[in-house]
Amino acid sequence: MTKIGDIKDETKSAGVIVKVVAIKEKEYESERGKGTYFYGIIGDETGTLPFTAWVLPSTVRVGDVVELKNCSVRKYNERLRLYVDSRSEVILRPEDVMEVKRTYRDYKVRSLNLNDSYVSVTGLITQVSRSTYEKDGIQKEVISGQFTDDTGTVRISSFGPELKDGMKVQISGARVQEYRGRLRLSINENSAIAGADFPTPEVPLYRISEVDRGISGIEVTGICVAVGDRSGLTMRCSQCRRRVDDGSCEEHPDAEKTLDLYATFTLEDGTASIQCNTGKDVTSTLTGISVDGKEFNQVEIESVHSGIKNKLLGRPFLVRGEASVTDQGTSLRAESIVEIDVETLKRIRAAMRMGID
Amino acid sequence: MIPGERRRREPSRWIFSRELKESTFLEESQDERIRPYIITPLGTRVKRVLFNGNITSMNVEEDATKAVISDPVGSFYVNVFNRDFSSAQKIVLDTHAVGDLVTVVGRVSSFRTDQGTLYFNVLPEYIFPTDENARSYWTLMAQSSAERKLVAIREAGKMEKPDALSLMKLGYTEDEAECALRSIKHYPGFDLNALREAIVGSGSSLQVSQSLTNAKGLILELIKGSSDPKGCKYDDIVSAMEKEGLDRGAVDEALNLLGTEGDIYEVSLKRFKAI
Repeated sequence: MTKIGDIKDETKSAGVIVKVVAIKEKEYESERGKGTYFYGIIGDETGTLPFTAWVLPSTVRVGDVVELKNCSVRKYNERLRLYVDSRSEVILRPEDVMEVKRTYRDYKVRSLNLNDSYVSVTGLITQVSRSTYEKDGIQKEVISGQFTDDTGTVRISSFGPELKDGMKVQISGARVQEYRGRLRLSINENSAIAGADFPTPEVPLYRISEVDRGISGIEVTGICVAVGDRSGLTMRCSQCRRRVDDGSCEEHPDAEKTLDLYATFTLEDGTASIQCNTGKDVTSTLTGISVDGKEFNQVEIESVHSGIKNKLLGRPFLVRGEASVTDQGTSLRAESIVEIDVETLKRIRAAMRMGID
Repeated sequence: MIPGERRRREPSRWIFSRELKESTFLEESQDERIRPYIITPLGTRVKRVLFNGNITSMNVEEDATKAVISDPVGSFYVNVFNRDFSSAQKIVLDTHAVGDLVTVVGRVSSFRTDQGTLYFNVLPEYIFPTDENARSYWTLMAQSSAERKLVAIREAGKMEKPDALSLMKLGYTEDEAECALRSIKHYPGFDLNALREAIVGSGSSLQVSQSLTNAKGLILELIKGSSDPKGCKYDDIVSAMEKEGLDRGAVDEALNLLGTEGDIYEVSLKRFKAI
């Protein structure tokens, strides 16, 4: 039997005794019909390895120790993975107890993905806040914050370890999750946190084609080539923030309507395009239009839309914000937007030079 | 298009006019109604472009306006007709004059002569007035994109059997890798050196343009801040700018531009005041 730590290369015949650390099942459809396969993580006292099982006894659960014979090891996404198929043998070993040495791959924020859901990351903790939630009738605390490295920022939630503003940490065993197209990390008492030393990260400048996952704290540049027809003034439900331009909110008919200023526009940098949107404060700063405490007639509403178009169309901008990736495409919620000036050009030139020999 | 799939706007390509002009390959669609993609010598697959430059020539007629717009390495030929959706852009273009700096987004149309030579013109979808910063930004991005493709083509040329994945492992994006493969496939033996030199040159003209913008700002500030009632002396400007790393030639050029743009005037011989 081979130890996980000794598996260094692809092989067609591997045998291991391992503990099932994580397991999920997924349905698939092929020419031969529908089926289910399993994937997850297995481990022993020397390390862990992802696995895919095309066949597996339905009795296998997380925590079980199993002997796997005649498996293959192949690379998937640049990482070795153990495959259990129809010629493999799976033997449950209910009497065995095994300690698993957890190993996590190092990731930068910009490379986080759901295919590798437990990772090691190094970064700066900021914007820490605390809140409580109830589980099984017991009040528990969750500490939330932002986790930043030199490639971007994601939200982090701790259900155990202490997080403080300004902490520079290396976290092993952080879980990667996704919510509404945005990636986030969560940690608990099984995650290991150690102090780390690195320069405070600067906000990274991305080419638009490089923005391919839901992370925040990034900047892109581009020329605005289109402004959404609905950019401008809009009425929203004060409770759910939905647009209610044509009447009252269906879900909250008695709720007040509030006036909002909003812009959506397309930015291109020659590598790709991205849909950006700005909320009231950023749009107000950009256009000089303030809506607080004011009322607008139809002519003024239309002039606000024209004002936004005149300010944005054809102009080059530096936009900082939070990207989200959904079925509808990639978009950027802008936290700030400034027109490109000589200083920005110097920064872009330096960034563009990187990677060209 | 797959039913239910959202039609996505095809992003524009930011390429220099020279790259487009040297293109000789069209990727035809099976559907004759669909305009072909132009494959440039750098492998860029072009249907829509975004560029900026100065209008160097304009011919306005009732039915159509033709304009030549120059980027740092050549010219784009822009035609806009007084019909359908184009008429709005004709009105916009007609408000401009030779010398104006504009940004254009448009679809590229090709025409092949009986001798097989391809000509291109741009049918504008948008025309925006623009400024030096926007021009510098576009030039920088177009230059960076072209340089990366040139290096990717060189790397692909070193491989026995070049493929996109191997190029992406070297740090190129999927698009850059595919451009390199298209360049090798459709332009075997094409001498990219002249294009490379022109693109590198566009960078130096950009830097000159930027240093000139900086010089103009510094000099205008100096003239405005001068307490000499007879006007700021030319020699004082030159010595102050030398401390900023600008030579006499750059100062002269910046003073000429400030005068042309109406920011300063020469009160008497070699003395300047701000307007």
